[in-house]
Amino acid sequence: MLKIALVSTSGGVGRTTLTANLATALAQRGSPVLALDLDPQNLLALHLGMPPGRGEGLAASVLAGQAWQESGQRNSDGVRFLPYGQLDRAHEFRFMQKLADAGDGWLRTRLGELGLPAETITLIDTPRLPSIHAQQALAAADLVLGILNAEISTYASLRALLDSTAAMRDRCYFVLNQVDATRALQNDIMTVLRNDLGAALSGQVIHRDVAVAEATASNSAVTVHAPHSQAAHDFQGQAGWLLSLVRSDGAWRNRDRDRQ
Amino acid sequence: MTPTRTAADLLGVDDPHRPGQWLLRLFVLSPAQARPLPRWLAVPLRPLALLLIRELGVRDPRSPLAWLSALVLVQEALPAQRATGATVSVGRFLFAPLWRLLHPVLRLLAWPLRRLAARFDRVDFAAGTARLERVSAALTSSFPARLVLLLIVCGLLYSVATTPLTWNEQLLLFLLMWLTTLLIRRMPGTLPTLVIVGFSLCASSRYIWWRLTQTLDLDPGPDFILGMGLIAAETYTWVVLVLGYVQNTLPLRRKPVALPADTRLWPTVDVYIPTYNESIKVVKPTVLAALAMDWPRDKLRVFVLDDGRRESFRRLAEETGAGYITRDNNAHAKAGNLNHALTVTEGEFIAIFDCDHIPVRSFLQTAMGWFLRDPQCAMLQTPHHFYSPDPFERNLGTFRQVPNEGSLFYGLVQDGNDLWNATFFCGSCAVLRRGPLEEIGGIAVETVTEDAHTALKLHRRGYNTAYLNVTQAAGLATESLASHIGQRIRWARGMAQIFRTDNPLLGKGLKLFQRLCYANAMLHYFYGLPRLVFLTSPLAFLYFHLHVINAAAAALAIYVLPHLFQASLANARIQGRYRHSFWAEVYESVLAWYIVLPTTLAVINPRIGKFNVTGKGGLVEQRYFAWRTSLPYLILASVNLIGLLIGVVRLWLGDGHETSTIVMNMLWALHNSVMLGAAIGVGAESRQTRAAHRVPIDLPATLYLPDGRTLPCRTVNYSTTGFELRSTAPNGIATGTRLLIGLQRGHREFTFAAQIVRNSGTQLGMRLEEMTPEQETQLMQCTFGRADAWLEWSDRTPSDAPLSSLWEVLKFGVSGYRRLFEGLGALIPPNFLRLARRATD
Repeated sequence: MLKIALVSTSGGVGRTTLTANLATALAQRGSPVLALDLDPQNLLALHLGMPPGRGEGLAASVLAGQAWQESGQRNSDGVRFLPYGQLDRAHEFRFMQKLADAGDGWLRTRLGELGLPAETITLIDTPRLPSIHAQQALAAADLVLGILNAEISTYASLRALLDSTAAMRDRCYFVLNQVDATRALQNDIMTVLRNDLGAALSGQVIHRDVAVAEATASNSAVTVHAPHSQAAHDFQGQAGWLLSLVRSDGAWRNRDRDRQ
Repeated sequence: MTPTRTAADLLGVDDPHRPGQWLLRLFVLSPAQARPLPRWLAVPLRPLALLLIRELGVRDPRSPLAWLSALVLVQEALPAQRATGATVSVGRFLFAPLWRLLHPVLRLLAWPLRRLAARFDRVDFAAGTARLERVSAALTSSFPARLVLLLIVCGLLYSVATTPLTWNEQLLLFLLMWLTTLLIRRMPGTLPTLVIVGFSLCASSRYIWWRLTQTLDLDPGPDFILGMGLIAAETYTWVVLVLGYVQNTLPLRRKPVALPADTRLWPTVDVYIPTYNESIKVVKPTVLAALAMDWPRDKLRVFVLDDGRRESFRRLAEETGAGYITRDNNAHAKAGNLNHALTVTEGEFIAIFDCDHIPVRSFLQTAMGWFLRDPQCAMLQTPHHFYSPDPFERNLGTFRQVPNEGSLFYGLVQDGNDLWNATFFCGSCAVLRRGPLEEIGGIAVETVTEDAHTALKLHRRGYNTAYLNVTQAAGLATESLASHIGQRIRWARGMAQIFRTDNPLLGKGLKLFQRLCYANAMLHYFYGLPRLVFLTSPLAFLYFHLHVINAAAAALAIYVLPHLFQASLANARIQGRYRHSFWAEVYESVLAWYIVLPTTLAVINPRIGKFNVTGKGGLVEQRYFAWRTSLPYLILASVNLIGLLIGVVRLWLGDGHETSTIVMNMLWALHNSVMLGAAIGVGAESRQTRAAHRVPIDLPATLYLPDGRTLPCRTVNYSTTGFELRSTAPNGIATGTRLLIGLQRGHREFTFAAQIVRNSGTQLGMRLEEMTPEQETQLMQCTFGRADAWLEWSDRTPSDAPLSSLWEVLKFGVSGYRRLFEGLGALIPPNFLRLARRATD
């Protein structure tokens, strides 16, 4: 199983939207996909079609000592996902404590226990860095996707993001999300980012498009809801880029095998 | 009232001063006098006529020609852009059954050939080529060795050409050469090319030797004079053929050289954009694109050289940051303009673009490498590429189907010249080194083709030139046949002038092969007279029974057919990608008449004539027939067709012992008629409706709709004023919607405001709205200025197959006559056809 952590240092860059839509696009291409929510906001399930208000999820399972399979879901687009679940404050602290105590290999081990097919691509949604959840995701990940906006705030915090992913520099890639190419400043920032990050920045940017929000509102992924929109086109492109990355880098399979 | 007036009234002649009217009214009633059809006739005829009109698809019931063509030809709707649709079906209609019959037979006959060709696929030719090259390198290592080799080859050719053979032997020789050529023409590499060229040299030399020694009638008389004319024309053709082989058999095909990584080592470049009377709409994109070329900002200066001294151009230069140079006179036109700019600028290199040639961003980075590699290199030329169809392409509908007139020169001839270090400067899309240019006194001003003459002067000083066949700029083709011909006349006249004033065969400084390349280029422009001789020669026999060739038809055939076949096969091998077989004759037939006089005059007195600016960016508002321009071909075509008729009559009457000669001359006249038909087709001007030319290109684009949605599309074509796009699914955007369109340049996206003017579900037409100067530059960079904008353009034209090319030319020949008849129809006064109209109203 290939594990990809989607991380960022600023909020609101669209991590969860990206995770959900990317998972759907990958599933549409026939890749077995698992979307895993490690973000206490518990919004990934909503993006993948689960009605709001249901509390079960992996955090609760962990605390209850149950198997994760119990809270696993699968939507009509063929995406398996594990919601984070709704926890009250006390349980939340207990979960965080557990994450802190468990050490870096914990998530990786637990994911290995799920017994999913070896080709499965697991996308891990995280809260913004630095956080104990995101740290656990980074430790488990074979690839890291740093999510960026072409905003000045993102650019300012890029250094922090690079620092927190420094341990896996050669396996860390970046994606530009919610780009408004009609604004000159965003274009300028994109140019600077491309200059700084080089090939690590995906050539496929994801445009800002109301179709994304409309899709979420209508309980669907944008590639399903508005397949001919630019955003759907971009997510498809992103999925293709990711798959080519996975295929060209066979090393992760070996790493996986070595650990087992 | 005078008797004339009375007679005119009686006949219904409106204008008694026009003899044509009198003639017409003698046979046709005037509209006032025409009686309507009697009712008893009109009533039953009317439904019948309507039925016929509908079923036959008569386009204009009043025109008898429309009826005729509807009866004889299979009609197809003619789209405005492509004007040749109908001709295809004419041919199919006539020849398809024949072809169906012959095809299996031909396939069966060709079976052994195909088996053998299949075997070739398994042979490793690369190793053989390498071995051959080693041997030839050893053989030609020293000058004496080369000389000896050359003498041996010349001696061999001489003996092959002059050995007398019986008819049977000559026929056998031809068959051997022909079959061998058919076998080896598919083999890759240089050796087969050389063998095929060798065969062609042998066949043609044998022919010309035979003609010179066996077939001349030396008794004075009209036979003698005409015969001499023909043999002169044929000798000219032979010389040009041989020189062409020298020039083109081994093109150099130079590749770009990388520049050093350190941009401090890159030289300073001045870009000159000379203009005189062109509209600012044509010049502006060029200026913007030149400014946007990838080169260090402090080392690139762009100058508009305005001989028109127009305020709008000064403002354009000021707004865009280009320099603006004028002078107080217009001496020596473009050459003088450039020379004046030389005195007021100081860049080490000078890049010159005609004001409509838009360079791509990578132009300088592609071109400048060779100057740094070779310090003696004084000039580098890149191809002239045209993104709009020239009059040939537009009027025949061959745009991007058949290589155009220029593609032979820029695809092959220049590369061939480059091998001998004899690349010509073509006046635009080129870079010159300032030092050598100043040394020869700037751009040459003595002739009207200042560019070629400048290169000649550089070569005489011992400088090198280079040709890089990478399309790095594109411009507009001439917009009408008349201006196209005007441009060619200027070139022909200029070349003839150079030939007279600074003959490349004489004077110092040139290598032998440089002389030959120049000589060929100049001789080439004297094709006018020989071509006219060929177009009229068969008529001497058909009309006046003069024997211009003193030989039996069969003897002529066994000598001339090898010459024609082998030359055609050799040229298909060498230049197939750049010039399809038989097209040279079409191009030459169109231009021949017009360049005869200028070249002859220029040879007699090189100082006659002035520079005429080639018109660009104009419009042909309506389809029309360029009678004025086509008149010479009309006359030539009529005399050839009449000659054919006479031939038929003579065959009919049984002209006894000369049947084969009649047939041969008729075939010749038929060939001429077809070529002239194609020439006439070029004269029928198709409409050119758009002010800005649409350039086909397939690029991703994003539409930003006012409601926040975005839509991915691909461009179908673009121009400076708008785009045509297609989306993957019906997009439902209302016509008139204002939106933004985003285009990418590298990884950067630029957006432009636009309005939808047309939407057919998935096909969108949009017009760009007013742009800021900065946006105009960006649009230029995303479209015309893309480094890859023109790279794949020439890959799409299919390569040559002599037979299908003949078929093509044949089609265009027939279509030319058809369009001539349509043009005639437009000339006939409508009241001429009153009766027909009555019947159908």
